[in-house]
Amino acid sequence: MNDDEIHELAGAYALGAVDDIERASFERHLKTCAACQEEVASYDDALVALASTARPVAPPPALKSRIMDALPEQAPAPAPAGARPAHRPERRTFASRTRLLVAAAVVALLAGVGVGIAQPWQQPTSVASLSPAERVRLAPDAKEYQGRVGDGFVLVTASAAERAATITTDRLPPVGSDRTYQAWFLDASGTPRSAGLLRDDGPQLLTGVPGPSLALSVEPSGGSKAPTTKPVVLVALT
Amino acid sequence: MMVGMAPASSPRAREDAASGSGVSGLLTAVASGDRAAFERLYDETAPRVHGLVLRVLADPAQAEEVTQEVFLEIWRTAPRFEAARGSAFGWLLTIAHRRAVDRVRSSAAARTRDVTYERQASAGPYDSTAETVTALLDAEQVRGALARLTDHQREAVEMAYFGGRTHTEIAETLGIPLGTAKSRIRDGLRRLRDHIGGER
Repeated sequence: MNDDEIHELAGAYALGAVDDIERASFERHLKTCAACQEEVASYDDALVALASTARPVAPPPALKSRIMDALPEQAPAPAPAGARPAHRPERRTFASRTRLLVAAAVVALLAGVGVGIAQPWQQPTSVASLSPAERVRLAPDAKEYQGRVGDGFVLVTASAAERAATITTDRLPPVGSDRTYQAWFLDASGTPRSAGLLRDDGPQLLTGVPGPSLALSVEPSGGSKAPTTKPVVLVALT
Repeated sequence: MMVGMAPASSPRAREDAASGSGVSGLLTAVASGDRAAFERLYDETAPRVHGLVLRVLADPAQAEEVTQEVFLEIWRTAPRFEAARGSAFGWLLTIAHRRAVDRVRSSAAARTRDVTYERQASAGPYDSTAETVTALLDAEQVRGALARLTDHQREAVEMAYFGGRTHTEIAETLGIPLGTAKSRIRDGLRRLRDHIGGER
């Protein structure tokens, strides 16, 4: 690899998109190339931004107990003085001191989440106070399935025990005032059965017992007996 | 749908909110062996960490294992975090991303890798709790910056970052020359950097 080529690798390196051999040779190069050091460091905040596009997912509550149980008794070993953090990827080693506010905003957001919004494992204790949609979403066996419609998302939460499912949507493409999104449960043979019209972003309890998959189609206001347009999304509920 | 998230008023306000007993403060406490601080750190960051890991792995069982590895690594290595060098949250995400990508590239994950990218591009389980939606609102700015990338650049950057693929694999998958894959990744990342910077 000649010198020009190796500069080209800065982006792929920052993203982790290099194999072990390329990483080793780029890191050798990095030691002596100020331009590449600077370039790699300059991507730090873009990487945090990229990471922040992944949707937060609360791990199952049991994971926290497993991790707490697995914590060693002793405190973490102090960092050796002057040692470069070996675990830290090079892009952190060369990190710039000024940070993009995207990172700060994400942290601020987390702080807000911490105090303002109940964590999912802090579940309401009174089942009776839950709406049917909440009951499905909080059912111990609830499973969640996601689909995309253009830039929007569909989230279906299904509980076999509750024999019910809810739907939540985010930024579905607008369909006009005389049309509506209609949800359909498909049986194993693909035959649709209406699961209701979407009223808003939800969460909304779907009508009927969930089938193996769910489709959304655009229908005239008031809905249809069977889909009259090609579904915009199909979400497998298995 | 939750729409109650107040817009962050100013960069300064965001910075203030991010300081103090935020992730960085918790990490410092964890470094001295404070288990309660570790629990709080977990509560505050686990959904973001796990969300990233799950996005890369697209496999809930493996993602749980990796999230566990990440937090145990955080416990072990918290003393090495240097606040002056960067955001604590960025540090956590870097560990999470690297571990997730390592897992994707391990032989077990490699067998399912081809379907993995498809699955994460189409459907996969994810959490629906309130912070998801709140985070999405805040992600608007990032989304705006991502929208400045060409489709090809975005595809390459996402395949690399979320797909855990190397530039060589991306070139093969897309049937494009290696040099093209490298420049799509690099140009895309530059554009993302520049537009996030420009929108501050």
